[in-house]
Amino acid sequence: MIATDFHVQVAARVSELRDLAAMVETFGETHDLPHRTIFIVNLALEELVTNTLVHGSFEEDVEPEIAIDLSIRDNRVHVVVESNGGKFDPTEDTEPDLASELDARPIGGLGIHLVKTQADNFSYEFIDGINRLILEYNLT
Amino acid sequence: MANNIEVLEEHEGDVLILTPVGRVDSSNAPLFERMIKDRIDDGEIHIVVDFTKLSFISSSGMRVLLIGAKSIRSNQGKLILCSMRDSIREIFSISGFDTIIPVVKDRIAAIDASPA
Repeated sequence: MIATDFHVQVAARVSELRDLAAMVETFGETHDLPHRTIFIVNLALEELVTNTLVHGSFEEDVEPEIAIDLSIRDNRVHVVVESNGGKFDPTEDTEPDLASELDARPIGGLGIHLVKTQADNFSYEFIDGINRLILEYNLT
Repeated sequence: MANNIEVLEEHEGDVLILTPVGRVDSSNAPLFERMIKDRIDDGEIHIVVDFTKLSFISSSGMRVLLIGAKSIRSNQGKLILCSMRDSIREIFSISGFDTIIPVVKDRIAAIDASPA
């Protein structure tokens, strides 16, 4: 397997996510990853970056900065998403209501639920002012 | 800030078929939401969203469909989704959306399932 890890600094705009998705696809193709893995990694990045930009804790004079690392080790895809700003832990989000009928279904909380469900490991840490989300996807 | 969205539109009898192309994500979901709302306001009651040309959808896009389904139902209409690839079908299943918005195999099944 080619050892080309991937690191990218994402501009703090959701419109930049298209470029990120294209890079993830290239990374996936280079490593011959299954289509499903490429899709769920892309989905996780879209959900986590959007969530951070919309709900993250940023002071007025702080420009959001998000860095993403992708690598493959031990037959797993490792995804690390780091952001500045105050402590912001999306893993603490409450579970969305997935059982209600259409009219009663609240709108929200879904993105993180998808990320949590699809990742084989999903953890959060806040160290030295950096929010760090670590996701792992088994390649079996 | 927003990216565009391309959506093909066709009518099959009284059923409006919308085929979004490429991606529906947080950057263009608001445009997709506006478009569906406009069609409902124009009097469309039965709408099929054909996923044939859609490679990616995030929770932002799924929310748009949920909002659309609620609004169509309040008009006594029906929203039906069809032709999803497996990776998209999986997230509709995880979210439980497929239990509240009908998802069928292909466009023929979608039109058959439309009340019009």
